[in-house]
Amino acid sequence: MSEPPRKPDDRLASTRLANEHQREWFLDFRRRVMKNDDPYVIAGAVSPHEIFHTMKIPVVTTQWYSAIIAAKQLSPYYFNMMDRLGWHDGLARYSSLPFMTTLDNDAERAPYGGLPKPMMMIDRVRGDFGQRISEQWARAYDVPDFIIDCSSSTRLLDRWHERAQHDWEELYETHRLDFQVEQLQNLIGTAEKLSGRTFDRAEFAEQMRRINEAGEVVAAARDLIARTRPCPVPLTEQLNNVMAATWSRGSQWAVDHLKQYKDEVQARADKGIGACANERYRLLWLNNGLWFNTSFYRAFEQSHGAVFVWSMYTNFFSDGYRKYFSGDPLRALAARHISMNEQLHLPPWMADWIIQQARDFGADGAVMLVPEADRMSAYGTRFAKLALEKAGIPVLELHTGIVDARLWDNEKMTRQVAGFIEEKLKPQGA
Amino acid sequence: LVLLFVNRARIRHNSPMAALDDLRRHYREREQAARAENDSGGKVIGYFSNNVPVELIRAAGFFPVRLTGDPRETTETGDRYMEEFHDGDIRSIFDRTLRGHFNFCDLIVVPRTSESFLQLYYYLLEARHWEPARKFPELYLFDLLQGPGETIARYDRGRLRDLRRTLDRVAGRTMNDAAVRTAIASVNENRALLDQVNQLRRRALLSGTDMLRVYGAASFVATDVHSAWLREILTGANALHAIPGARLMLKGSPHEDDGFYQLIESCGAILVADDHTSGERAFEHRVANSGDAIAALTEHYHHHSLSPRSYPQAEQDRRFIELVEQARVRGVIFFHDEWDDVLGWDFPDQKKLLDARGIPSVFLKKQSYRAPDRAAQRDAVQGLVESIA
Repeated sequence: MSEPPRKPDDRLASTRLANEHQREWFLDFRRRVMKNDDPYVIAGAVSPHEIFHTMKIPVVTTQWYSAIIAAKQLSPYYFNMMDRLGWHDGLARYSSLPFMTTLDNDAERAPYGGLPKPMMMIDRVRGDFGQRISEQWARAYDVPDFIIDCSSSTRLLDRWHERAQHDWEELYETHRLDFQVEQLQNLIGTAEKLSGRTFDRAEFAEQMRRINEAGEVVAAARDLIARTRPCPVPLTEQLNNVMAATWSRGSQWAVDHLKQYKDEVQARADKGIGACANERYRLLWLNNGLWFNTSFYRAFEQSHGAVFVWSMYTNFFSDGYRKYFSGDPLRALAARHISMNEQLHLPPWMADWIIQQARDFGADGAVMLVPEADRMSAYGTRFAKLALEKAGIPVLELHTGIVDARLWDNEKMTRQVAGFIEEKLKPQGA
Repeated sequence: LVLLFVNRARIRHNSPMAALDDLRRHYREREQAARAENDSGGKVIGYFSNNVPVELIRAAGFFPVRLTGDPRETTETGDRYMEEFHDGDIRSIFDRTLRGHFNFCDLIVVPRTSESFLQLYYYLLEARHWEPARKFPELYLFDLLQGPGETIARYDRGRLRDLRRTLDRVAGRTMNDAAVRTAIASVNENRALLDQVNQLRRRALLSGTDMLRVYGAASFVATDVHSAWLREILTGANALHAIPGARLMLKGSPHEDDGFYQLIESCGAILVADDHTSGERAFEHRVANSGDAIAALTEHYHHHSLSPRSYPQAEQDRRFIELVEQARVRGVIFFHDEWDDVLGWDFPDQKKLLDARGIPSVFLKKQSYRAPDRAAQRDAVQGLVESIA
């Protein structure tokens, strides 16, 4: 898992700021919780953080913290503990790893000192196990557990990514949106009761407007990266910048940060600076991130001139999060999360979007992570592979964990990707 | 043909064993009655799991039949699209549907009461695009949610009404409330009879294997016919003899095949109770038969129709321990499917509950649907039985 040699000043200034922002944000909120007993919540990634942001209640995203634990190479310790506690290795890893830090209760070991007692837990349960993790986790803290149940689309209309910003009422079905709005109203009531704070609807509307503005900046950055050769910013930095803004969405910081990021990408594009000067192949990374080894994304630049130019994190903020509204912003918020999983992990929506990105980014091939022990994130991968290959985009499947470093065989995976590039892809311009 | 079955049930049966033989046969030849209905011009609605309101299907004038997979069949057709980590029964059902095996149905109702079934629904929708030459029935997603609270209950009422409208469309006529009431009464009676027969199992007068077949057959034959056979068993219960063996419970994944039940009961044990979605929990509640029928059905399927999405889990665990104590269970076998990523979360707490009561258990995890390791299963069960003895 060695990082390719790189000068410190290779990174965008915005990347360093994004990392610092996340770290400082965490330490600051933790201090306030420990010192002043301020409220905060632990919430799944696909849940309405906006409600809490509006109430100035910090949100720790389960999957974000999971990725941090993995990046700090701590996942083997916690997963070994999980085994000892009787949870077998076929159970979900991505969403359960932070729960293990709570059970371990060792602030010295856990990233940034660990998660203090929250005001409540929130998860939107698409699969059948999220409620189980959430229920047991809430019990461990002795705090309320708020489950947002998940209605399902009865039909999946074509080209969701073109309809999702404006035509969401038709796309997601009225009866589902009615239900989701009601659940959000219940959540607001619970949050107000537990925190003693008031949900300011004007501030909420402003946050929703800012999220759309931030999404527009992400879309502009994405277009810039897609059309520029060589690719001006490595995937690792795309992830850092866009995801930091995603977790702080609705804030002016997110808008300003993304603008800085886009401007820096533009400057590099103008100067012809690429992530890899000798760019010969442009690759997509499909499915979740490889959080314990993000340097793998850059492992084929020097050896093969192969650059990962896109992953779903590049622009899901723009295509999935933006919801323009003229009426009730709560309904727009309902539309934001109501079908995220379907968009990212379900045929045909998953493949439709990816094929469009492949074309826009001029991709030569795709490497797809097929998560082990996290099958919620692995569903739809076979249909997606078939669809991409039908569209002329070769796909390599890598079967491994999202956050479980114990499953990773670096030599084997490197060999697989190298072989794929050498045998299945044609270099740019060939 | 349905009348013929009823007549046979009334005329031929004069012992519980004869009724049991018919129930066993229908458990084995599970589509026979539905195919006969289809052949005679009747309409058949297929469904999965125990979470679809069969009362509405019956009230609409259809023959409801539960559709299952078959572990003996290979799945080459579906394997092109479905990854290896889908549950074995889902892979089998997907393959069978693509091959037209269920084309005797006029509609298939897919409940959203597990992620596996939801994925099955979407995979089938997508497969239509990839395999336009393959014909299979229209699909309907029954989006039943089972979390607590009135918001979800309201959503479910809307889904029940939507199912009712869909059935009316397929039937070409509007079902009336009286028909729904009649169907509720009939299914309630059947569930009550199943409960009584289950008490015979509690007294070790009926094996767990036979109880699985008896309940399973309820989803494959007409309710009135099934109820008639249950009455035969109850009437002749005095002729049944107690079965010796260690009193065990089976918990975890559902069983749509009796192979594992037979194996357990060949090891000197009797399954006096079970706690999974194709076992006795499926008939322990009745639908209220007063007031608004749709509201009553909603209440039942929202709260009392066990599924992997029934929560809070603490409530389910309370019921588990109640069953253990009521049935005077001496040991529990936890059985989880090969790709289970749900029930495994519950296991440590459930084991602690048993340990606190001094009840031994054995955990068979990651059990294959198509190629179970029977020798290893036998070793585990025998070990448990010996520990009790």
